[in-house]
Amino acid sequence: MNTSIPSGVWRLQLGKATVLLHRRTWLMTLLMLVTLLLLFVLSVSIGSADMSMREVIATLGGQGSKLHEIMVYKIRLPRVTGVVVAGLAMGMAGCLIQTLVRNRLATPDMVGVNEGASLAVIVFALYLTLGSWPWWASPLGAALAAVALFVLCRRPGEQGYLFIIIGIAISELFNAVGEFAMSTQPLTHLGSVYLWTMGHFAHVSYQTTQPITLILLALCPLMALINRPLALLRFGDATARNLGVNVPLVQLGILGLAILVASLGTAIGGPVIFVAMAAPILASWLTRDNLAPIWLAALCGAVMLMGSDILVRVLAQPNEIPTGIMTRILGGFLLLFLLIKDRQWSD
Amino acid sequence: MVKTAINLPTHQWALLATGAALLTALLMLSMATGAGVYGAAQVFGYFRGDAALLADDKLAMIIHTLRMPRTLAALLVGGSLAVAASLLQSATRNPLAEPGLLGVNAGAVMGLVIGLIYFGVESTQGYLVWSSAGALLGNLVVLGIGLMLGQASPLKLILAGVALSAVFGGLSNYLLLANQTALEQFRFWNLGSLSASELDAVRIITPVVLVALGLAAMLCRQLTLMQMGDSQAKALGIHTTRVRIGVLVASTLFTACAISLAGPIGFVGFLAAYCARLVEPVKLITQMVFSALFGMLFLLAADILARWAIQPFELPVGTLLAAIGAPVLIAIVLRGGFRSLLTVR
Amino acid sequence: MTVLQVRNLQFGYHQKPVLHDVSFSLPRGKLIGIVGPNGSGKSTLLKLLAGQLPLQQGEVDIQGQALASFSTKALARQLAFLPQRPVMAEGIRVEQLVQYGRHPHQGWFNQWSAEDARQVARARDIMQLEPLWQRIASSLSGGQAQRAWLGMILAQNTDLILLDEPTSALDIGLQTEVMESIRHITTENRTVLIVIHDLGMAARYCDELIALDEGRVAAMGPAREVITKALVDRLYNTNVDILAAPDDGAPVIVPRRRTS
Repeated sequence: MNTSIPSGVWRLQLGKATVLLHRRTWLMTLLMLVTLLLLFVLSVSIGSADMSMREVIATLGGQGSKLHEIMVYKIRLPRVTGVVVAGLAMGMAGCLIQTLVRNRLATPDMVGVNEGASLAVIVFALYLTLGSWPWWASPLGAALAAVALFVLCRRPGEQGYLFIIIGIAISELFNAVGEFAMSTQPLTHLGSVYLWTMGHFAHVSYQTTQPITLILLALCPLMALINRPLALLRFGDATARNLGVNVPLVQLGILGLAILVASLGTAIGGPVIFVAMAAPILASWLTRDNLAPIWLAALCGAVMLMGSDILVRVLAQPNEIPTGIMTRILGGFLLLFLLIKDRQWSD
Repeated sequence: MVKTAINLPTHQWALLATGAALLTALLMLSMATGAGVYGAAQVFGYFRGDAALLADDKLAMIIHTLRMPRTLAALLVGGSLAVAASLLQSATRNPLAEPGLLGVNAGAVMGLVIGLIYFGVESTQGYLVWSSAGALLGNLVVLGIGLMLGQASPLKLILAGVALSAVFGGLSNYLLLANQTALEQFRFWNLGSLSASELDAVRIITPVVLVALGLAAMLCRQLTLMQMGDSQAKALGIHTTRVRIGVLVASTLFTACAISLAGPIGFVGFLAAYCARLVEPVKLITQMVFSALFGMLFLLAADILARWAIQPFELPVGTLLAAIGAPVLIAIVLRGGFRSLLTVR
Repeated sequence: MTVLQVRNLQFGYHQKPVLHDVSFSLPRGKLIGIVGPNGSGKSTLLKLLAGQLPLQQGEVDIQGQALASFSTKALARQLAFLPQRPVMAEGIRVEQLVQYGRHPHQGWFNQWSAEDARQVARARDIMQLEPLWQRIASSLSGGQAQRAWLGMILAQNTDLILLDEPTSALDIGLQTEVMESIRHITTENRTVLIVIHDLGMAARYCDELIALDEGRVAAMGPAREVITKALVDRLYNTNVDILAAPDDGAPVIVPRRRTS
C-alpha cells in the first residue's frame, strides 16, 4: 500500500511548505457553502411581501426595483447577515468546547455563558441604558460566567461532567435573575429586549453585526492555528502532551476563545441555544470523522441557524416568533436523541 | 434507640421534633409577615379571639385571602416537590433528580399553557387536569430515559432533563407569544410565586396531595428494595413495572399540584431530598417524611424571605430559590458527594 | 552519554511523599522494567521522567540535557510516553492514529514529508498493523488497540520510550505478544522503560529491572541479579521460590502455597 501520502488527502505543495487537505472535508465545505448561499437567497425572499429568488438575486446585483431595493437592503439583509454571523460564531464555539470537554453533549449554552451574556445585556439595555444596543455587554457577561465556571472547575478536560453540571447550575441562576429583572417591567416597556432574550433577529442592525464580524475575522488566524493541537486533545491530556502539545496553555486558550466567540454570536440576536451543540455534530457526520475542522462546524452552524430562522418565519406567519425558540425545540429533540442513541443497556 | 411503634434512632426523633417546632415557628412568622400594617401582634390577637381585631374586616381579609392561603400553599408545594424529588431520586437512582431539573415542571407548565390558551381553562380543577397531563408526559419521557440509560450514566439523565425543559419551554413560549394577553399574565407566574394563592385552590388541591402521599407511602418499601437493581428486586417478588407506574402517577400528581398552586419552582425538591438522604440514607419512608418536612421548611422560609427582603415589593420565590439553590448545588457537587458519578462517560 | 539520568529525585502529592531520593542511569538500547508493589511509586516515577508531572526536587537529564529545559514539542522528539489507560478518540482509523505520532516533527507549514511517510510505514510494519490499517481504532480489541498505540509511539521515532503498564488488561497470550513487540523495538538501539505489574513477565522479558519499594530504589540491575528470593519476599510480603526457565535460565517466580 502506498503511504507516501495519507489516504483520502490532497497534498498542497507551495514551495517548501506542505499542507494537507482532506478531500472529503473540503468537498463538504463546498457543499455547505453552496447550501448557505441558497438559504441566504431564500431567506431574503420571504417576509411580509414575498419576493421570488430570482428577484432577490436581481436586486442584489443592482437590477431590482426601488421597492425591492429598500426591502432587501434596509430590512432583510441586516437580519439575514446577522443570522449568518451568529450561526458561524455558534458553530465555532461549539466545536471548540466539544473538543475541549471531549463530549458531544457539551455546548457553550449549557455552561452558563449564554445566560451570563444575556443577563448582562438585559441589565445594560433596561437599567443602565447607554443609547445604542449594548452588544458589547454580552462578552462581559459571558466572561463573568466563565470566570465563575473556571474558578469552580479547573480542569474541564478531565472532568467533563462536573463542568456541565456546574454550568447548568450557573445557567439556572443567571436565567432566574435575568427573567426576574425583566418581569419587573411591563411588556411594552421591554420592547425588543424580551424577544431578544429568546433569540430574535428581526431587529438586528449593522451597528451590531459589523463590529462583531470584524472581531470574529480577527480571531480566525488564531483558530486556524489551534486546529491541530485541538485534534490531539481528543486523546486525553497525557497523550496530547506526549505528542508535544502544551496542554494547559492550549486548554485555556480554547476555553477563552470558545466563550468569547459564543458571547459574540449571542450578542447579535440573543441566545440561540443548541446550535453550538448541533453544528459540530453535523460537521462530523458529514466528514465521517470525529473531529471536523472549525470552519466546517462554523458553516454548519450558519446553515442550521438559517434553516431554523426560515422555518420559524414560515410557520409562524404573520406572527414574529423568535428563532431561538425553534432552535430550542429542535435542539432539545436532538439532545434527547443523542442521549438515547449512546445508551448502554444495564440491569 | 427510643422504642416506639415506629422504629427510629433517637437522633432522628430529635430532628423530627426540632423540625416540627421550627415549622410551627415559621408558620406563625409567615402569618405575621407581609406588606401592610398588620404585624404579629394583630395576627395572633385575631386568632386568640380578640373581639376588636375580629371585627376588623381588613385584617380578616389579609389573613384569609392573603396570608393563610399562602402559608398553607407553601406547605403543600414544598412538601409535594420534596416528596416527588425523593421518589424520582429513588426510582432513577440519581441523587440529582427533581421535577425542576428533570424537566417535569416544564412539562406541567406546557400542559397548563395549552389548557389556558386553547381551552380557556380558568378553574383550579382545570389547571390541575392540564398540568397533570403535561407532567405525565414529562415524567414518562424522563422515567423512560432513566430506564434506558440505566445506572451507567446518571448525569446523562440530567442532560435529558435539560433537553426536556428546552423542548417544553420552547413550545410554551411559542404558544404564548402568539397570544399576547396570556403572555403578560404568564411572565411573572413562570418565575414561581405563592402570591396568587387562594384558599379555594388550597382546599381543592389538599386531598390530591394526600392521595399522592398515600400512594408514595405504599411504594416505599418496594422502591427501597429496588435500589439493589431490577433483577434482584424481581427475584424478591417485586413487580418493578407496577412500582414504576406508581412512581409515575405519584410524581405527576405532586408536580401538578405544586405547579397549579405556585408555578414552576425548582431546587427546593432537590435540596430537601438531599438533606433527607443525609439524615436517613436507606429507608425510603423515613427519607420521605424528612424530605416533606424539609421541603415545607425551605419553601416557607424562602417565601417569608421573599416577602421581607425588598419590602414593600416582593421577590418571586422561584427566583430566590434559584439564587440560593444553584450555589448550594454547586457546593455539593464540588464537595464530592457525587465524585463517583462524575467519572462515568 | 547515558540516555536518561536521574539524580536525587523526590516527589510528593499534597504533603504525601511518594518518591525518596531516587537516582539511577539507564543503559542504552535495553528494555528496562520498573517493578514493585502497589503504591511504591512506579507510575509516578515514569510520569515524572516523561515530563507529565512537574519536577519538585532532583534532576532528570535526557541525553545529557536537563528535562526542564526542553519545550513540550522538543521533549516529544526525544521521548515517547504511553499512559496506562490511553484515551482513544472516536471515529479515527488506525492509519490516522499512527500518523498522529509524527506530530512533534511537523509544523503548521510542514504538515507531511517523505520522512513522515517512511516512519509511519516502518511503524506499521514492525507492529504488523497492515490488516488493521483502515479499521476504526476504537473498535479494536485490547491487544490490537495496544499494538496500534505502540505503532503511534514508534512513528514518533524517539530514542527513549516510556510505557506505563502496557500489558495490564491483557490475557497471557496478548501479554506475550505485546512484550515481544516491545522487545523488538529495542533492537534498534532504542531504550524502552516500562512500568510492569506482573513480576513474572518482567523477569522474562526485561534486560534490567529497577525495583521500587515505597518510593526508594530497592535494587537495580540485570533481571537475574535483581530477582532474588530475599528481595521478592521482602518487597511483596510473600514466600516464593525462584526457578530457572528451561530455555534460557531467566528467573521464574513460583509462590509457595500456605496450605496444600
